[in-house]
Amino acid sequence: MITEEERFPLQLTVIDIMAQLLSRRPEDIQMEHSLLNDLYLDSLHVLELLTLLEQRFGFETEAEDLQPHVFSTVESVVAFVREKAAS
Amino acid sequence: MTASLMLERLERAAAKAAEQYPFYRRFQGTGATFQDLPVMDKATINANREMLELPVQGPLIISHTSGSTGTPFLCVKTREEQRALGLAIQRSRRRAGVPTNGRMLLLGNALLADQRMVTLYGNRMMQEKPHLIQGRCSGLYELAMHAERNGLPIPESLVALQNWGEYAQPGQRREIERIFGVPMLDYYGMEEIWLIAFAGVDGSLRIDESLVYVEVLDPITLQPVPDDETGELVVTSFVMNSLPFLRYRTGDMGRVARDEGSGGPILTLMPFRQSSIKLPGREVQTAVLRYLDGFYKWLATDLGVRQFQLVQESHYAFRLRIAGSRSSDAELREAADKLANLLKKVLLSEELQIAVEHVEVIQPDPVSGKCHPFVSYVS
Repeated sequence: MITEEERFPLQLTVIDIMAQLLSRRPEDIQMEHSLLNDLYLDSLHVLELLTLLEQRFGFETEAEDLQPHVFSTVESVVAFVREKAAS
Repeated sequence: MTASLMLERLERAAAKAAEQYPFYRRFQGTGATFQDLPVMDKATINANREMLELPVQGPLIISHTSGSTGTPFLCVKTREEQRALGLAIQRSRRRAGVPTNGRMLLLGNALLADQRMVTLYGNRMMQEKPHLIQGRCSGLYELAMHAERNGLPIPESLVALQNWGEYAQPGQRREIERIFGVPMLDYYGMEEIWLIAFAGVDGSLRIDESLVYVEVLDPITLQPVPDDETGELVVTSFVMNSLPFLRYRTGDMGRVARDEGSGGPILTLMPFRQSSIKLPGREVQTAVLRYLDGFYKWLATDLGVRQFQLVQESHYAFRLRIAGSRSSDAELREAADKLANLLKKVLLSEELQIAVEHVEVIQPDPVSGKCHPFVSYVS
């Protein structure tokens, strides 16, 4: 049987990084959570998160990646990381 | 963005405004276009605040500005608006090579008030090793001079400097970039809507069309000036909804041209704000002082002037304050004569007197913290 972790390793890693940054438990962070309104991630946190994701997944953020819709929900961040990690 | 796409975007903004804000409701269903919307300023928004502010859920970020006009103004932003505006600034910095979460050193306005502050910031620069140092051009200049005088090492981490909205006089810019060894990028914006334009690595001020649309209007008639002509910059924000800024007067003079390569709008700011030279029975907009561009270039290149300020002390008496020049009395006299001849032509008056004064430093305005190239003491 395939575990959740095997099916969604990238997603769980992203959530884990967010949890550490925000001092929350990973299980309290849902994919549909708004970074701003549910997780209270301010502008500085966004940049910090991005740096941690860059380091963990080995990509570099381009200027045009810094768009509000990328940092809208946990799901949008996961999608962004998936795209960057694959390229 | 193509002109037609921008036009569509502006018409959508106008239609949305007519729907959302009581102030603009009179335009709803009338076929009014974006150009029919009134040109706004701080005083008009203040007077109609209740009809312009949208009720919002969640906290608002509050700040204040009077800019250089002296009209107090309460700025509000939702967290979403602040996030969108903040990311735009980060995009601009990223394009200049500043790392995603780069270390920033922000020079406060107090730097010019006390030499000890310059020393403090010099120490912080060495300890914190920033990727970006940001502040007013005059503050960056003071830090550059301090670093050179005292042999402070410039951190290898430093990628760029950011000039917060102060006119950078040619002599200052050259020295700042020489000493720091990195480009000084101009930031042009306002507390109300933050970023309007950010300099590319080629030095040209690029208007961020994802955030704003900039019109250039005659400051008297409020009609568009011909392409590439100088006028007052009037901005429309696509981000601000909690308090709209549609066709909002900046008080700044400039012109907009299209970049030949990208087609994007490039902004050239004039050093003189939309203030006026007051003569008996008439006022002359300081925009006419753009005809003195050649004179100011001569000051910078031939006389090595790093900073200047033209002061109108009375109707016909002007003083040109010069800082950083080692010119002789004869050269200063020549500068005074040149300026007098130019001003007589520009102002159509033979009665002018010009004095030239050498000063150590030109003091910033106590309200705005900026060093203004033109000041009038005539009420």
